[in-house]
Amino acid sequence: MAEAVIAEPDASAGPLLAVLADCNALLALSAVDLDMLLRQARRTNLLSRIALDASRLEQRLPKTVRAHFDAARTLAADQDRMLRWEVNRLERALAGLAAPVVLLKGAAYALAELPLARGRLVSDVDILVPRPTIGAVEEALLRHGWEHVKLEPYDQRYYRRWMHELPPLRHRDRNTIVDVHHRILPLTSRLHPDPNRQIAAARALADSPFRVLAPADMLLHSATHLFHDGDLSLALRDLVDVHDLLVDFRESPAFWEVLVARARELELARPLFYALRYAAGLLGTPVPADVMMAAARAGAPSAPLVAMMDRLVPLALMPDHPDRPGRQAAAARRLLYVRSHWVRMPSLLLARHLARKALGTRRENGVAQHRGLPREAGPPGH
Amino acid sequence: MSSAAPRWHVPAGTCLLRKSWGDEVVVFNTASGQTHVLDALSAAILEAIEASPASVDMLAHRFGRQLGLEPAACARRLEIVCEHFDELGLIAPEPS
Amino acid sequence: MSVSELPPGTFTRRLGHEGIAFHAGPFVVRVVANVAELAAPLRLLYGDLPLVEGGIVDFHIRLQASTGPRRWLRPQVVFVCDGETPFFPLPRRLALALLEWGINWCVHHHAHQYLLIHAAVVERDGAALILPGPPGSGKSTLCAALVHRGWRLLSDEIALIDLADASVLPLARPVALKNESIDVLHSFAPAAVFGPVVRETVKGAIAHMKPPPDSVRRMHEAARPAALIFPEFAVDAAINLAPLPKARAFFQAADLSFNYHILGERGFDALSRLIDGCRCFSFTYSSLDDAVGVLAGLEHEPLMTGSYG
Repeated sequence: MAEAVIAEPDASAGPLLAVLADCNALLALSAVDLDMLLRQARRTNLLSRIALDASRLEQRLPKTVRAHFDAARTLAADQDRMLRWEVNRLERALAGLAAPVVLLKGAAYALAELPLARGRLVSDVDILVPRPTIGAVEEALLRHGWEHVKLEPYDQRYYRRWMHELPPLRHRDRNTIVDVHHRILPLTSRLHPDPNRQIAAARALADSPFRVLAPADMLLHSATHLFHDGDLSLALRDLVDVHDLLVDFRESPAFWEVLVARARELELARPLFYALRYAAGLLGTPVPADVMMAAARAGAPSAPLVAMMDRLVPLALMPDHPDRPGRQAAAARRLLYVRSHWVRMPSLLLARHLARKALGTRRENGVAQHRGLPREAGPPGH
Repeated sequence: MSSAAPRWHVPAGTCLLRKSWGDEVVVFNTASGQTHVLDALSAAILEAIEASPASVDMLAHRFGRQLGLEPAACARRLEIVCEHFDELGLIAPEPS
Repeated sequence: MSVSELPPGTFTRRLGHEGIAFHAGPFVVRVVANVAELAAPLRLLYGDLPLVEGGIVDFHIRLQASTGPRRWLRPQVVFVCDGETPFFPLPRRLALALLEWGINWCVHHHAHQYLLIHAAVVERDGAALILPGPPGSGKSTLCAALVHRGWRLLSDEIALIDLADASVLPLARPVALKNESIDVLHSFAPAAVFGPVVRETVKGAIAHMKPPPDSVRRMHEAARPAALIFPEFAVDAAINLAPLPKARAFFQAADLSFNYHILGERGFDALSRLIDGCRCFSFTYSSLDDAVGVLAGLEHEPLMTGSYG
């Protein structure tokens, strides 16, 4: 396979990438670069993580940077607490059920005490349960104060029929969200990883009756989320997740041995190929050469498609300049968005779904509302 | 009083911070991140449970006179208080 | 060099290109706006602020007016802070108001190194009054009045409470006033300087009062909170400054905080310390003169500490 020729990210992402690679790079950044770092880190949801890693460098950083880092760490600590408390409440609510409950994504990383968990700012909890138990799980949650998020009837039907999860449930007091999955990809996807295999391989946790995916499955889920899930607004953060998981798991040789085989088994070889390729190419993740080749053999698409992805992915993933948003980046994201839905849905359904989404009411979704923020002190009547 | 009666406790990992002003106590639960205001008696009940796990009967024995209720009503009242604390995430049934 | 010392032409050009950077209390804000008519009111309201050249900016703000054909049909302006657009677009004539709201948003959305309470703050003789209240409570009007009767302006909108020692930090920014308050302030303080009055679409008029030069000069000087007073303006109400039990004050303040719940233990500690150190009151009033009089009287009484006094 030819050397990866992956498009260079915008220069303004330089300080961010340097600091991600090595936290000590902070000490060498000029004021201009630190300014850009703060902006890019915030936009890509990486500020808290960098702030946590920089704790020991604190005293050598300018006061302004310390203030932003302090605030970012506070946010992360709050999200971590919310997440753990949510899991605690879920344990109480689902205590009576015999079904295995597997934590996914952020909740899993936190409860498994993975370094990757630091600085994450998502407090929704995702769980995976066997499909036959989903009714009982839903019922238990509803009984303990969770409510269905209001969806239009179309969306409700769509969720229940095609999706891999229930419509989201929000707790009436805490306002937190639980997503109950019965598989990690929708039924309409062209990929069909078998959830029963994933659940069977799930590992126990020290302080919880819940479980987490086995390392290879966790990595594959992360890769799939990144390259098959439609919403690319947090994509760099998600690639960093992939990077972190690989770095954390690489110590065990068993991980590399099973990774590609497991990907084949779960039909996730394509996302794995992309994840390894772009983590290594854009973030310098150390991936053994033989694993890289095996992943390519198992999951690489045609050379022209790889070349196209090599051009689009960096554009879409990497933040562009905050003052001069690139049109190319937006176009790349649109292309990838449509493509990822293509992977998830047969085209007739896709056309109908996208048309519906375009015509339907857009819910205000842009700004993260912090729990406890009593109001937007903003324009009255707007 | 059955020694097998279910007991309430403040779970390990839950740290409760308190601040009193007059008759009211503001309580912060570090585990849930939530803040509550309790009257003096409720606060005392919570403090008792925190000091050592207690069943409703044990609490009735201790706080019966302050509540000024007959034993049955007293127990019922304490049950309600404990269930409320449980819902708020301040206490939990002791694992058997 | 302060904003008003910059030649108008230079100011306007910079505003549209590299932007104007200035201090807002402990923060450095940079504003870029392709809204040429903003230049004059900004020069007026921010006139005393020293310009910031270089260094790290805390909030990069852009006011983006619609360009292209649509700007003739329905001229609009959008507030952008590093890619985030927290507000819907507004009519272009509200650009100044949008900027002011937007700067507030930046602070209460990001500045979690402080406990942030939705409150006006003024200071005199080394003691600060914190006036928490929702929109409509009259705190901005009361604040504007107080700063023209000898109090220093810290903020009309956000109290920045230091997490370590519960001191309060100034922002010293323009005060936003609406409707009748604008006229009331004109009579109450004829010397007050105002930006343009804009008739807003939904709820009447809005204007911004320039912060007094002394308040701006002392923008980096923290103050010690002495009283927490929850104001409520009510037409024809009898004036009443009533002591508020401290636990109640704690909850009301937490309820009016932008980030108490995010701060966890540190928020609990800081708010406790704040409440401990302050006399707490609810305050109903209908006349600005009377209100200012009562508050002036309050300050000269010896301050009590500990449990509610």
